[in-house]
Amino acid sequence: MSVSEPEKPRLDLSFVRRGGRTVIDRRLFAWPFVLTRSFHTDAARPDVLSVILQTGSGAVHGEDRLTQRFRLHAGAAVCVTTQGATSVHRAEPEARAVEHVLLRVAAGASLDYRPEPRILFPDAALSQVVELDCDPDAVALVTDAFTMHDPDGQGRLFRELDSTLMVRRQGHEPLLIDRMHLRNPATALFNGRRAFGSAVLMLPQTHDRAALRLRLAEALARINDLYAAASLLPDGAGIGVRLAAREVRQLRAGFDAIAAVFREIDLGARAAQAPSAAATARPTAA
Amino acid sequence: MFDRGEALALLQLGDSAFPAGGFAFSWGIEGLAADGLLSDRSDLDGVIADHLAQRWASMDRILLRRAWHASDSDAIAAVDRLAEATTPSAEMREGSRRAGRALLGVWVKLAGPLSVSYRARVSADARLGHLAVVQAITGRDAGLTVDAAELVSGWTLITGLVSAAVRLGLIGHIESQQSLARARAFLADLLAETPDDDALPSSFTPFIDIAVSRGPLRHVRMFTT
Repeated sequence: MSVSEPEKPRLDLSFVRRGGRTVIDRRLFAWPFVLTRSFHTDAARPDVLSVILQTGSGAVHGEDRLTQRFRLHAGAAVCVTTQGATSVHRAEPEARAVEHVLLRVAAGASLDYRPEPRILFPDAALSQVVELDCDPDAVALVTDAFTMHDPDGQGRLFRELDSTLMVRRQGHEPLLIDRMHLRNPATALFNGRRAFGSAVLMLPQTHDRAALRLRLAEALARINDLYAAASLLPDGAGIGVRLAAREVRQLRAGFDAIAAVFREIDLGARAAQAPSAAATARPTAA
Repeated sequence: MFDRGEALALLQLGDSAFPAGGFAFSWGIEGLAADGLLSDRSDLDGVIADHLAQRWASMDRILLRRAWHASDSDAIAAVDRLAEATTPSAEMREGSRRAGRALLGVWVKLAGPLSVSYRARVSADARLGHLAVVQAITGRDAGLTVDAAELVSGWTLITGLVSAAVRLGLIGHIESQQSLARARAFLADLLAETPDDDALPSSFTPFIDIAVSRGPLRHVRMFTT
């Protein structure tokens, strides 16, 4: 299966591990993306670099063609978030915004990619593709979510959402292609919920997926007004989670619960690799 | 023109008594009811509409058509692997494979040549045997047209959902006929439009996906999905 080819990245970041910490070794960005300082703030995970991605426009517009690329080399550990939820504004009848996010995670690397949800305004039209290529010996958490908002309070909905999350191992045939394509959706389709999301948790084969799935189920069940389930991904590559929430805040709580489990896994793996790392941690900026 | 032979074949292949084990699958009806999201005929009609429009028409039907037009066994297997990759929920994948393999098994016993040939591949690869792909193979063995194979595929989904609702006590037998009639009209509308040959499979049935995926965590259940 093929999707449209991405355009040249307007945000292109590459990360390497140096001296026990993750640093950026390629840092290219152009409008609307803005990248300021990145930080090592996690005392328990001193090697992790936190990146807060910002956009100058603060929104996605109908004619946008935006490609982002994040490449994590061996052993790098990166947490990527965004400044806040991104509004997707109305598009002209024949137009739709196009976004590609390319994530490459090499052996021993760790990626926590959790952008804030998209807010789809009335008549918005967005095509987005997130491609994750994750080494079998790497860990990755990738989330994707959207909500809907009509500033006039009339319950008008977006026009089109074509969203694909594709997962590969080392360039091979995709093992997961999670695609939705909604055109002029009816309100009834959303069953009273306004926020929907997915997460994939990629793990080396050494982890007990069944036990992890139970932990996730228990954590998600504790969140009110969140309907969610975790399930094993094809080929035993990891765990996928589907979420439907009354509002974005419950969806965020769900993602936070998943991230907490991911963090435990990552901490455990890194403690096994370098037991003294936590003892020498100092928060810094990069 | 009314083709009596094909109509009779459709009645046979679309009959809930066809021994392909369809009674074992509720495709989310049981889970949605257990989670308080389905309690009456109105809810059921909504779930059937979601299944048909947001999953069957945009995914299963696309896969069936691709498998139907596949030039050889390798190409059919590629569609089967695509069915595996485009179904994130392990429980949905397992259900699809179990239902597909059961249908394939019946047609192997009926000596369908394509079914017999493809069964060897399915036996050697745990990812293969998805229902939509097998419906294409067995439809060709049955001498159907692709239009008729799609119709059987959509109709057996509908009857499976409604049958599950009756067996769970969510609706009665008269209500089931009302739901079937409504769904039948909706299916006819969907079939009136032919998807593009290069259409990509997609689905948006989050509530059904979640209900099915929560299945193994339930203490008691009647259905596989």
